[in-house]
Amino acid sequence: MTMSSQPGAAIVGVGHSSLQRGAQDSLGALTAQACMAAVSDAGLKPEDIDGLATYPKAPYSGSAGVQGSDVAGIDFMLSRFPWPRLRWFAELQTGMIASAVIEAVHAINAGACEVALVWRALHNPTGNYGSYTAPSRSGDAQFTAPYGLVSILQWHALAYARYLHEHGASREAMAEVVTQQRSNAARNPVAYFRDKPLTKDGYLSSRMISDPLSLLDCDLPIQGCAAVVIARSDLSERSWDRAANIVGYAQNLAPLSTGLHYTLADTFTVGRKLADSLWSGCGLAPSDMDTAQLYDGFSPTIYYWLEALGFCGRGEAPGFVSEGNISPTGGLPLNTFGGSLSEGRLHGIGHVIEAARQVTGRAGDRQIPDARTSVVTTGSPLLRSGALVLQSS
Amino acid sequence: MMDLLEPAVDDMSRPFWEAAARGKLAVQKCDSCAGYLHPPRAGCPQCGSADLAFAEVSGRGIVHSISRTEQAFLPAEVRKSPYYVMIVELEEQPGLYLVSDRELHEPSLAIADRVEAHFIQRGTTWLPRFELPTTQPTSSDGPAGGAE
Repeated sequence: MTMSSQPGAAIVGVGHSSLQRGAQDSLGALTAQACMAAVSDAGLKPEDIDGLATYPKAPYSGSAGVQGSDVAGIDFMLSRFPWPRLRWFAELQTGMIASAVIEAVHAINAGACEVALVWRALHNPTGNYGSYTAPSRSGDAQFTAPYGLVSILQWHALAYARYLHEHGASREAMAEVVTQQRSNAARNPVAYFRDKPLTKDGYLSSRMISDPLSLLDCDLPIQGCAAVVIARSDLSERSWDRAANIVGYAQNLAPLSTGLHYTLADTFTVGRKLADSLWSGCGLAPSDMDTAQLYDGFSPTIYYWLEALGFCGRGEAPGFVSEGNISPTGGLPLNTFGGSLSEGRLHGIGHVIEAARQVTGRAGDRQIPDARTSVVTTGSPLLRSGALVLQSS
Repeated sequence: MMDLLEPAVDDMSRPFWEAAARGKLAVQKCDSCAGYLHPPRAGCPQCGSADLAFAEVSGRGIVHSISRTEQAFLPAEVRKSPYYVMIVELEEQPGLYLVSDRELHEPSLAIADRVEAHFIQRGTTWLPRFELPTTQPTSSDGPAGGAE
């Protein structure tokens, strides 16, 4: 993958809706709010947009798929606003939001559109999250559901238990990651937990869900949407003084070794394959990154990405954290907006937006001085994840 | 409600469940590269061959990972929490995994413990479930692939 021969693309506008639990507003209303905020942030109007892309899938089973109610895909967007210049769209069924961003870059490079709007909308259903009145017990699940292994959370718990065993790590070490992110969220005006400080004891005493994952190791389900505007770079240089160029990207290509559950070995081998593709594609290295916005659906995913991307060696992430690297004044400020654990689960687009803000000097009170380049991952290495590198000119 | 926890058997998986009903553990083996695979697939993900046949395996393995599930993911009448879920790595091949469970009142298990398959009836099917061994291991080396 070489992008040097292409005009390239840049993120030129970002926007969030309010992020809600026990939502007051419909998903459709929040999606419209975020998308119009991003278009306005780019100094544009909806009639300037000629491309649309999203990854709309609900992250839980049982979604009814009602547009504007529990999903907000292309059909919702086409019926919600007139798009007089629209000439391209993509709605992805796998690959998380990074893949929708990558498709928009491809469309821009191919001349299919010039200015694309990419959004991710998440519905938060009422009731006990992740409970199953009728779990799937067909296909691969016939070998797991009979034993009560029904949730992706348990898959992550089994891989994390193995991590603690193999590397002699402790849950205490993770407290530093989770409390640092909560502290970062205090400087993020849209973060759901911006006014909820968290101590190490508070983290360690949170309710266990599936050992060793407790409630505060899990990202925070919210209802909301966030969006970015991506434009052709030569247009952006003409019209925008602060653009986050998309200088590298990669998708997760490797198969998992089993369909039954996640394994620790796969987190490294699958994540490393994505990392090799990312770094070789853009000619940059971990040492070139000024911040890292790494997906944190569950807290150990941060360890897996730090190791797979090459910021530290295998099994070394707890030590890398305890050396102070991930704080805003450390060598690799991490999830400077609070991550999905503290901003709320936007399934990765929150990470994309934070990287764009940091490299363009628009991160407000949480700005990392002189940040020019940032890596983003969306999804755990075990999902069909993706990665981006953003850099300001 | 217990039938929610019965496997939905299909054409590809039927030999696995038929073997279990005879008290045997059988998983697919590739005729081309001789690798075992589970859960069942239409082709071998290692070499791409479609020449797969079910073969009996020892039923012996080690606990690869285990987690105590506290949250009630399932309705209480189906299964009360807490309980343990675990991954067992069979001795035949590193990375050949099966899932099992453990009740709190049973003797506790930890990563690297030896286990072997037993079979319990669940509705119309027989379900393999891993327990502390009642037989001696066949070799002093023990199960393969303890570390990743």
